[in-house]
Amino acid sequence: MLGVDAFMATMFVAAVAAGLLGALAGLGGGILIVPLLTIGFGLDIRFAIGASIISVIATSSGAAAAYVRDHLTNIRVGMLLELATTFGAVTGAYVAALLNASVLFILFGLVLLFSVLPTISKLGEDVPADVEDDWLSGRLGLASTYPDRSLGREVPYRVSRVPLGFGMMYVAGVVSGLLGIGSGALKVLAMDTAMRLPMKVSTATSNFMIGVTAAASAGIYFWRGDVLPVVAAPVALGVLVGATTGAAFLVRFNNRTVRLIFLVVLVVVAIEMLWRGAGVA
Amino acid sequence: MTREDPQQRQPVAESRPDQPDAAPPASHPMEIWISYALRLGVSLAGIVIAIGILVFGVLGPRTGEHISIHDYLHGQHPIALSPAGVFRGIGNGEPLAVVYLGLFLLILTPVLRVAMTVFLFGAQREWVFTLITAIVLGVLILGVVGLTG
Repeated sequence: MLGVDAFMATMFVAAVAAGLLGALAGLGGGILIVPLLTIGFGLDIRFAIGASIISVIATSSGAAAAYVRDHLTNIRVGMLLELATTFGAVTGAYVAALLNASVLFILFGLVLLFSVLPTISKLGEDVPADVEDDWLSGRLGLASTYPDRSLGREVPYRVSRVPLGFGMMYVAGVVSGLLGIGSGALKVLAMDTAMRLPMKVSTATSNFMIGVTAAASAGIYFWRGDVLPVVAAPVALGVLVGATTGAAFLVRFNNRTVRLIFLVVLVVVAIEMLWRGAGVA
Repeated sequence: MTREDPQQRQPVAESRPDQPDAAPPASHPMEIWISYALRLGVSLAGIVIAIGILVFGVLGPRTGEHISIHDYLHGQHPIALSPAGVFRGIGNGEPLAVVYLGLFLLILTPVLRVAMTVFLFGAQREWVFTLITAIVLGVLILGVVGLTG
């Protein structure tokens, strides 16, 4: 059994690193799991996606517990937008079964490149000013406050352009279900850019939603047979350890350096995935 | 994960100036409960997965089974993929069946969290959010039960 054991141990260690890096960058480690398992370990992409979607639940639920307790999460915004992401995730899981490997590789590479954009723009982000509640936000009472450590006080904020954010969230759900990632970048983009939530609230609420979005498609992948226990177990446990450690540090400092490292990793991996997709075809 | 800061424990009361009557009486306990549910689910699932995979690592698959690493990595499943198959596998002493159970518990964790949120919004008489959360729960249950067949 040495072969299986060594294989699982290596995957565990790699998953710890991915989880740690992802959590510190505030994007979740899930986005690195599929490239890791396909390019690094030569696994079929659909089994990589199956293991990844499981690890996404582990990551986000572990981190979400810490965020929720710290009052950074807007549960009302999160629950409203989960309507969009869960329907999207089910759509994505069904569509994934219809696509071949090279298409999935190329889509994955494109999503990775896209994830780089909010990472760049977020390098100097704080609390947005002059935001007005839209009609829906006012009706549903979405505006709230959050405790900002660096400012040392409760910061009030409002929520804008809810329908636009809702639409973007459906797309985020489809991408999550299709590629087995949390699509945290898309979720943060929808809340950050469209709905103008403060960055820390966007990140925390995104994490809160990722687990639920992932669960919607994970059940489908699980019973379809795309979740392999010898892969999903070490990867989920490793990412959980890495992400929990990373989340403990995240609330304390907003780390530019880690974001820059993550950004470089994303670009390199994206090119690799695109190249693989083109090569398979 | 274990920091304590009294300044962070203040309830958020004056958060909705436009809607003084729409603010939940206490968002604080709800967040605490959700936080517990998430941590409990993930911890339980993590322990079950770890036990299953460690026993598998030490003992290997159930005696008499000859599934190679190649087969495991190419979609060969040691049990029938159904809730009944998972429990039959555990009964037969297949360590990987325990891993399937743990992975399934992990998938159930967010579902548990949403179910709690339905209840908590209901208790606060936030009917719109109770309905929204109930619909999300419905979609999750359909996916997790394996509607695909």
